[in-house]
This record gives sequence, structure tokens and C-alpha cells, in this order.
Amino acid sequence: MVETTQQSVEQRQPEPLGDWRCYFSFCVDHKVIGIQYLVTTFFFYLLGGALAMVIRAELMTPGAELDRSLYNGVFTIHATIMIFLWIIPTLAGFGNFLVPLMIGARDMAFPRLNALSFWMIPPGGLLLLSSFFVQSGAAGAGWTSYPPLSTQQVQVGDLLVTNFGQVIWIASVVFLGTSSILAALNFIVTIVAMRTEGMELFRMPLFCWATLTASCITLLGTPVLAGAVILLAFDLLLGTVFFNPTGGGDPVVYQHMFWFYSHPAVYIMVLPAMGIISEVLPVFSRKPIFGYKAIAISSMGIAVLGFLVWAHHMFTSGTPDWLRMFFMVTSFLIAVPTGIKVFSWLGTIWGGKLELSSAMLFAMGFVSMFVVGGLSGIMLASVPVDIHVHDTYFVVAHLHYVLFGGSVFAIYAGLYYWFPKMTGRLLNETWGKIHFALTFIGFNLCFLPMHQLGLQGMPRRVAEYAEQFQSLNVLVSIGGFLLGISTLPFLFNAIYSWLWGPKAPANPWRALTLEWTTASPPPVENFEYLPVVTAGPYEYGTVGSSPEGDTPTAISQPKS
Amino acid sequence: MIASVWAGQTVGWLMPAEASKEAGQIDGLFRFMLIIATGIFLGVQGVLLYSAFVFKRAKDDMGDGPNMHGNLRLEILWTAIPTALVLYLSIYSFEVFQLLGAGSPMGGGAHHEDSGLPIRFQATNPDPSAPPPLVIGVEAVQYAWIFSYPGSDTQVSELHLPIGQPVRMDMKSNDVIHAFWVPEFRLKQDVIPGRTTQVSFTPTKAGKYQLRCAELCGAYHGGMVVDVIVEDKKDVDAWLKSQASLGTSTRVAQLADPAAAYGATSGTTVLQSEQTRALVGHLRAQGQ
Repeated sequence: MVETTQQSVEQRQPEPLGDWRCYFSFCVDHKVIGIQYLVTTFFFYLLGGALAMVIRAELMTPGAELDRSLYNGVFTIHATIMIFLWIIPTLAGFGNFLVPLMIGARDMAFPRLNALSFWMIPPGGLLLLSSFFVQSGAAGAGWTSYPPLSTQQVQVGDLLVTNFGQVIWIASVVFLGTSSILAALNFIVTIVAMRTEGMELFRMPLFCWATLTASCITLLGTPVLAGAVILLAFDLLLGTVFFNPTGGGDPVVYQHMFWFYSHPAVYIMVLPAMGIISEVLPVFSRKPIFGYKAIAISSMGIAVLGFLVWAHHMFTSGTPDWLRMFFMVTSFLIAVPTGIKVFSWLGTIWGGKLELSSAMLFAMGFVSMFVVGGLSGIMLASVPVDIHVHDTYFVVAHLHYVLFGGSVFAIYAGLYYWFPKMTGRLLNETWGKIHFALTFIGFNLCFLPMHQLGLQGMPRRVAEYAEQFQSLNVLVSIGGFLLGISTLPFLFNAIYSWLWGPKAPANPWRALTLEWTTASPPPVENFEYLPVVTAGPYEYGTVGSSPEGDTPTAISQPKS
Repeated sequence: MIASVWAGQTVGWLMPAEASKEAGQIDGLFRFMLIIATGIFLGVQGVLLYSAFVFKRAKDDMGDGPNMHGNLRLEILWTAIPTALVLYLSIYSFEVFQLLGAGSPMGGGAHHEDSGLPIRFQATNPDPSAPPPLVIGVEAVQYAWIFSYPGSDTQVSELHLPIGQPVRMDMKSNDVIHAFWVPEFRLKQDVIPGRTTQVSFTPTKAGKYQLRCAELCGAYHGGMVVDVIVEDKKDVDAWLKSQASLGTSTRVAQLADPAAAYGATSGTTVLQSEQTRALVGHLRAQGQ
């Protein structure tokens, strides 16, 4: 299969995707849009990371050096950027680039809608950043923006002013949410309707399953978030009292609406990341994925259960006891499908022939770190333990193990794995391994001690803390700065290799999914002839140790 | 295995002192989960590290591993064991949660006049021989805590609790959401404007602790900290009497200085005056 492909590719040069200017235009090619997503969101990742450095600098000492309102704005915008402008859209970027290639389609179902959903992101992000410059300062009620704090007027000097930073935050979230709804719709239609001949649902690469599942969550959940924050805007600007107790409203209702989206949003951020891991591990283990169907179906299980656990964020919010017990049990149960995935990944690498490339190291790092986040998640699901550690640094540690040790590690694994396909150039592996080592050490130094800080009694979202916590905080900050530095080798590697790296062949990793059957980078419309799929995507080892590996997973020839 | 059990013993330095009857129960549950979690963690890391060394391919080996797609028996096993485990954890957590209600109705977390709970969830006092709880009114304002003791119309800004006596906090907020949290007691409850929330516990260990606001409540959230002193009942009564004989201004001047807790850094003077201003403003509004 690989051979036939390479022949057909070598017969002609891949058409260049226009010149560099097309990356700054309303281009409708899904590959251009995918790269636009990835580069733009990486830019926001660096910004969000810079804000994190400010937070860690402030927390080096127990006192508050920074203006306190500004500090609250910094961590609020840090979280908002990382969630809405980095992890969610960057995974959509992978989806855009990969889904049509993986299912053997020439483009997404709605190319212009696709371009639109990307082009909503830069203005949404700039809008959010602009809130630092309004009179009231940036939104400072945390990314959760609980009322009544978020609807309170802000004191500027001797004046009380409307919290326009919060209004901007709401507008930006609605904007970015709309973008993500449009992308989700596009993914679902593409995956359902655009698969090539022979690409049955259970022959799809697991990344496509993950994107499909995450898109369903986005479509169901994001409108509820939009509803919540729009009602919040009414309270702020029009004097309604939806969440205002002095007028008969209830602030807890906002929390229910917010978490109804924002807990499933964790799975929007982690399922596609898990999909990336399910692609990378088989290739570098030279073994089929262990338990393909179990992984695909457990994603669906996580998605369904994920809509039934939101109130575990509200165990101390005055929720009735029977409700707390219900949400405790559902939250515990979600460990089961998650465990199935982790064990299946271990089954995949067990007995394989492992190539410890940068992509593989990040993927194994994902499994290793995500487990920590999963286990602390089980502890948080238990009401008696949660009412001690809720809103402390234990939660901060947990969420970063899931979203950094999980999602970001997977994003890096994906970048190392698909970089040759996207750019036609190979990344430098030595720099990749340095990047991995720095990230792994910095990450654990930064987030592991936070568990103890939380258990010992340090609340989250504070600018000042008791002196007893200083030594651990210094350690955390050093880890944080190391984590900041760890992006430099990657940046250098990516820019240098994109411009001057060695040219990549069509299939440098000898992988079997369809995106590797076409040139690197793929031509416009992706395939010369649409491939016909005859087997699953991970049939490693069917022909023994033949290096050519002519596994009949796909035929890329014209149908006669 | 040994490492897991060892991990369980580390709870001592992971957690602050246990200063309430409830803390021991919660720590026991946490210790149990920590032991299981350490076992799973070490198992997963072990497989990853073992694979990285043992299954690492030779440089010139371009072959594939076995074409193995799964193992139904193994998959059933690793679905069933975690399911059983989390169901057991649910039951264990439920039992601990019920014990947390000691000294007050189990509906304790929140006071819902209209929650319409079925009667069976309104668990009764599990220990009828326990003395009735001391009910303390708590009012949270940005950025201070105001306490009212029964039988005294003096409002104080510091919490003194009698050792061994069940207490219940009836908590209200005037502005935004705050949260009552004394890490040594292991209990946390949001204080939500528009309703009364409750938290019940029994302090068991004399000492000086800190009540920290745990829900982001604005710029000085980190400074919304006051001392909690657990002492003999007669000392509490004496302290209350001494407070009642003081004028408001003296009491406010006596307000625990948060600056001391944070070391003398530049920002803290502002912090103290903010907190003091909030208290003074509140007390004035009460006409005291």
C-alpha cells in the first residue's frame, strides 16, 4: 500500500498551497485553515504562558506585590486564554488538518464555514486582551466568573464603574464559543457524510472518533454556556436580576448553567488529545491499538457520563445532600471508561517494538501524567475529601495534570508526529528530546508540590498567602519558569525546521493511516485518487517483519 | 504494595493537624484513596518504564510487533475491577459523609427551606447523647468575617470555640459568595448571598488556627483571614464577656492584624485598612 502511494506521489510534484500570503487570507483549504489554527493558537499559548509567569513571580513571596485587581485579571485571562484560545481551538486545528485526510475526503463538508470559524478566533482573542486596557481593568472573577462578584461594580480610584472588563470577557467567550460550535458542526457532517469508500465507522482512526465525540459535546454544551454568560451580561448591563439575590435571583443557578458546559468542556479538551495518543502509540510501537472498539466506545461513554457530573464542582455551593451523593457516584463512574483507555494504551505498547521518538516520548509522558490527574480526580469526586480541598491548590494541581500533563503533552506529541505531513520538513529529534525532558521536569516541579499546598491549606486565586507555604511556592515557581523556558527549544526547532529542515518523505514514520498515503505536504484536494479502504487503520504486524509493510489497509489507485 | 502503604503514612505531613472530630474520618478516607492511587500510579509507571527499556526496538529492526488487537478477558477484568472499586469508594464516601453531619441534621450543607427533600434524607442526629450544638451566626462581607454568639448581642471579628462542643455556623453573606474554611477542621462551605448555609463540626484540639475565605471574593480575597481559637469553654466565655464590655471602636482596633500572618510586606497595610474599613462600615450600618 505504501509503495503504490509513493509511486503515485512521485509521479507529480505536490501542488504548493499558494504562497505564504494564503495563510493570512480567507483561504478555504482545510489544511491551510488547520495550520492557521495551530499557529494562531500557539501564539495565544505563549501569551497565556507569559501571564502564568506573572502569577508565579507574584507567588514567589507571601505578600502581594502586584496590584490585587490586576493580579485577579491576570489569572482570569490566563485561564480563559488557555482554555478558549489554546487547547480547544488547537485541537480543532488538528481536526481540521487531519480529519479529511484520515477519512479520505478532499476537504471539510463546509469549507467556507470552516474558514469563518477560524477567522472568529483572532478578533475574539484580541478583544479579550483589550480588556486589560479598559478603565475597569480586565475581568477578575476567575474564568468561572461567578456572580455576584462578576456583576459587581468595580472601584477605580473613588469611582464605582460598571465592570466593562467582564462585559468584554463575555463578548469574547460568546464569540469564541460560536466559532467552536461552527467547527463542531462541520466536523460532525464531514465525518458522517464524507468518508471514502470502505471507510466504515469502525475503520476510522481513533482521532476521528475522538473528534466526532468531542464535537457532539461542543454542540450540546456550548449553547448553555452562551446562555449563562448572556444572562450574566443582562445582569451587568441591563439591571436584570437573574443571578442577583437582592432582586430574587439565585447565583447558584449560574453555577449550574456554567458547569453544565464547563465540565463536559474538559472532555472537549481531552478527548481529541486522547485521540492523538491513540494514533501515535501504535505507530511507534509497531503494534495495532489494543482494544480499538473499547477505546472508541469509551469515548462515547465519557461523553454521555460527562453531562451527568457537573455539580461535582459545586459540592460546597449549598447543593442539597442527595444531589451531592448522586453527582459523587456519577463522577466516580467516569473513572471506568477513562481507565479502559489508559489500560488499552499500556496494552498497545506492551510487547511492541518501541521507537522512542519525540512524539512517542510525549505520548508516553501523556499516559504517565494523565494518570496522576485522573487519580486526583477520583479523590476530588469523593464529597468528604472534596469539601476539604475544593477551591485550593489541590484542584489547581489536578486540573493542570489533566490539561497540561494530558492535553498539552498530547498536542506536542501530535505536533512532532504530524509536523512532516503539515510542512514537508522533518523536525530535529535531538532538540525534540531536550524539549521533552525540560517540559517533563518543569511540569512536575511546577504542579506536583501544588497538591501538598492545597492539602495543607492554601486556597487558590490568592495573591498573598501564609508564610508557611513559601518554600513550596518557590519550588512551584521555579518549575513554572522552567516550563516557560522549555518552549524555547520547541519554538527554535519548529521555525528552523520549517524553513531549513530536511525534506520529509510522504510517510516518514511508516504509519498506516490514510494521511500518510499522500504527499508531504498534501496537495490541494489531498489525494490524486480517492483511496478505497479495505481494513482497519492499525494493521501493524500482519506481514511479519517485512520492512515494506504492504498491509492492505487502503488502495490508492484509480478504480478501474 | 509496600510503597502504597508507605504513601498512606505520608498523610501526616500532607495534611495539617486534625483539629475536629470530622477530620479523622476524612483523613481516613483520603488515606485509603491515596493507598489505592499510589498502587495504580506505580503500576502504570512501571509498565511504561519497563516497556521503554525492554521493548525498545533495536536500531536496525524495521519489523513490526505482533498483530494483536486485544484480549477480551483482560478488558473485562480492567473494566470490572475499577467499577467495583469506585462503587466501594462511593459507599465508603457516603458513610463518611453521613458522619460529617454529627451534631446537626444531615441536611447540613445547605439550609433549603423549600428543597422538598424526601424525609429519608433528613437524617437525624446520629448521636443523641451529644450536647446540642452551639449555634454561631456568621456574616461574611468583603473582606471580613463577623460572628455573633447566642445570648450576646456583641458582634466580634474573631472566632473562639469551646473544645469538644459541637458547633454549627449559620452563615450569611451581604455581597458576594465567600467560603468558610478552616483547613484543620477539613470542612468547607460556601456562604451565599440570599440564603443561609450551615456547617457543623466539633473542635477537638486546642490551638490557634486560621479561617480562610476559599471562594474568590474580590481584590483582597487572599487577605480575608481571621484567627480561630479553640480553647476551654470558660476561656471562651471570659473572652466573650471581655468583648462585650468593650466599645465598638476598641473591638475593631483589636482586630487581628492580618499583616502579621504575611510578614511585613508593602501591600499589607492597605490590606488591613481595607478589612478594617469593611468591618467599621458594617458595624456603623448596624447602628452600633
